[in-house]
Amino acid sequence: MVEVVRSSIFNSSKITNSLIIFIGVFVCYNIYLIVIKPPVAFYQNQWQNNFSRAQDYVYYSNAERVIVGSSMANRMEDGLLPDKYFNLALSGGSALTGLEIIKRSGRLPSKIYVEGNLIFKNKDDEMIHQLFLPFTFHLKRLVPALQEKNQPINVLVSLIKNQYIAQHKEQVKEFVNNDIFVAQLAQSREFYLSPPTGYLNELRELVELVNYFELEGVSIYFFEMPIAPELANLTRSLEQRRIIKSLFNNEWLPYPDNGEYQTTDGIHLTYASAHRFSQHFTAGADKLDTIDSN
Amino acid sequence: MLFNSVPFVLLVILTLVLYYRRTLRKYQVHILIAASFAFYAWGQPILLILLVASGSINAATSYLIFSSNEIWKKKTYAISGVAFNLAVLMFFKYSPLFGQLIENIASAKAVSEVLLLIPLPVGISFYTFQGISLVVDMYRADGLHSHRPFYYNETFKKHYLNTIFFISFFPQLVAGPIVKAHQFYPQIKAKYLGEVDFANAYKIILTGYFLKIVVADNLNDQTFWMTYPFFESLSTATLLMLLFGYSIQIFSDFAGYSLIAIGAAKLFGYDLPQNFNFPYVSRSFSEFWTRWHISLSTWLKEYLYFSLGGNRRGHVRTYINLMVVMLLGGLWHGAAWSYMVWGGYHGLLLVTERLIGRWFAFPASAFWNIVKAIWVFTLVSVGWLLFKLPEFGQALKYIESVFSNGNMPHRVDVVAMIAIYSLPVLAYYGNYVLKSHFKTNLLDSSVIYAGMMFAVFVNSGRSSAFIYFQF
Repeated sequence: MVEVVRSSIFNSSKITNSLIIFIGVFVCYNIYLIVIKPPVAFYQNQWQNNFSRAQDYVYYSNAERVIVGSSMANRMEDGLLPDKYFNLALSGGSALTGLEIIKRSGRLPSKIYVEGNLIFKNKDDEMIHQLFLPFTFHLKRLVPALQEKNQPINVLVSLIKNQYIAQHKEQVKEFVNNDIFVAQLAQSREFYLSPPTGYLNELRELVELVNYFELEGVSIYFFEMPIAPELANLTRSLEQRRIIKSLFNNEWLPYPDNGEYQTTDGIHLTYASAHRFSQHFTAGADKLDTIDSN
Repeated sequence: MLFNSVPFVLLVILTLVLYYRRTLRKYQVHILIAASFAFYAWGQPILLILLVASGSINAATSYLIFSSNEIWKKKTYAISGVAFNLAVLMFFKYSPLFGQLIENIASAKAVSEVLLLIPLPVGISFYTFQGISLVVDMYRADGLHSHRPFYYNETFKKHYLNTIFFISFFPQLVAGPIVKAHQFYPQIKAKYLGEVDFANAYKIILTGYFLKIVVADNLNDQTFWMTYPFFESLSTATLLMLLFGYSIQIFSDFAGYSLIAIGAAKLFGYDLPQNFNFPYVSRSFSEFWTRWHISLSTWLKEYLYFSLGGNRRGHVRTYINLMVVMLLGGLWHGAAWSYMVWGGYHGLLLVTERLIGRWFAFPASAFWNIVKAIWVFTLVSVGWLLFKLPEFGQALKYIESVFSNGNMPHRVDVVAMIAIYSLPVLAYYGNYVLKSHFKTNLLDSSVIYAGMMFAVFVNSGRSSAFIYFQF
């Protein structure tokens, strides 16, 4: 059978040549990624951004401190936090997803900071399943060209983007589209007026995960991202905090002064505000370290 | 089991190894049936029972038609066979729709709740239509009526095996192409490795995977922003680009799947009918339906439109027949009124085109051909909105947003990504036009195939089921 297959496919020189060219380009691209390690600063969509972030963690991270949460904590972008931090907060995602990823990766940090703002958002089982598929998990670790962040379009656009940033030194501005801000703040207000419901499964998972990590010697802290002051004292904010505090004795980072920060839509910080908050965050984390060690 | 999954690739390889072994040659059909059952049962094992039951009843009724001597018996069996297939389709596919109707009209909530729980078996729209095709083709091939004899004097055991094979053959089982019995049965015979055109199958399969995994899946991650309520805060330009992107996506997704199915079937020695023939170059809506989902449109033409009289009973009756076929064709796509509206929309376009065509014709020139093609593409794309937003109200809001969101911010990133991933499809179409006029095929080159394979491996989008799986 092999003889006949060979004679059928490889009688076509186009097919033979195409396979040779493909193998050559694929190998060269992998070598380029392994040797040059181009910094990737562009992702094509939110899912890819999240998945790449998760892959970076499970394949490469040695961070002592990991942040888990939603798109709110995700605003503390790469470069805003010191190197010992890894931000595993996922846009459209949840702290539970981040905690599960840490657990299954086996790469346990010494401290995990859990965002409390949208803590009852459900876990993304589909993403976790895709991330840890046995065959592709190991294959992608060995072959960087197969990792989502290394898609040629991402690498190419990142090269251009990084060049542009280096030449123009991106300015940090407080920019908010007022129409969108007003409309989305109104929507967020509706959301925050109501108490959290249907969260018992998520709460149970959170308890299990926190217990797991603490048994493994990992310290768990909670924190809150700043939101628009109009939302901070509404039912959902207060009720979530009350529920977490009633179940967990873990320490909290100092609460932010919501009035000091600007959001684009009531709950997501602008770049400049995220920059300032990340400094507040790391200062608060360091202070807790000092207290713990005393 | 998805075509774009490791288990599928392993299944095909294993089946090929067994299929072409000399010692197993007389069991080739059995091997393909076993592989097809494994393919179908992967996701929903319990629904294999329905597939086998459907195949069995179609085998029995079609054999009874063949073996009966009297016309009235043949007709009775034919009607029973068609009715059975339609009943299965209506029960499993349209129960939620009936449930909603019952709830609205009779307030019988208990009944409607039960109906809403009935599962939708993957591929049911496709294999029930193939069952109907078998029964009708057998009735028409009785020597008295037929101009297309395709059946040979087989035993019931052989016929049963061939029918189960015809209904369940995995490349086309869950999303087509819809194969007609008179196209498929004559192909059922021993297959030899030396007869397989591996090079051609490789090109077809690679093109299919490229369209699906690289183009459609990546576009899917961008057209996510068409869903409600996200589209409400997007600019007019972004919304129009998203609609364009969705047109490219749905073509790439479905045409990609069909190519993989056709290529995979070719590996086993079976030729499936072409399902897409560059539909977006169509210069009229009737031409569009000879190029888009060809297997469905020819099935509807052969088994429904002609049965209603086609265009042989005057203009008014032709228009009615067209509308009936398109409304039912729309409803075939899903148990929601929006699909029927979509079908009616296309029916209206076809009828209007015919009406205008009786008194007016555009000049035959390249310029007008381009204008007509753009016109057809635009209206077809607007129709796709009902696929992306099956809730009719949301589709209307989308159109409203196109006209009112001039001042909203642009999503340059989304627009750019749609442009990038649409380029290969534009090149694909451009090459087709060049090939048609100048006999030049620029894409049939080693570099292009290597590039496509490279993109399939390193630039795939998030894995998603084929859009037509839901039908």
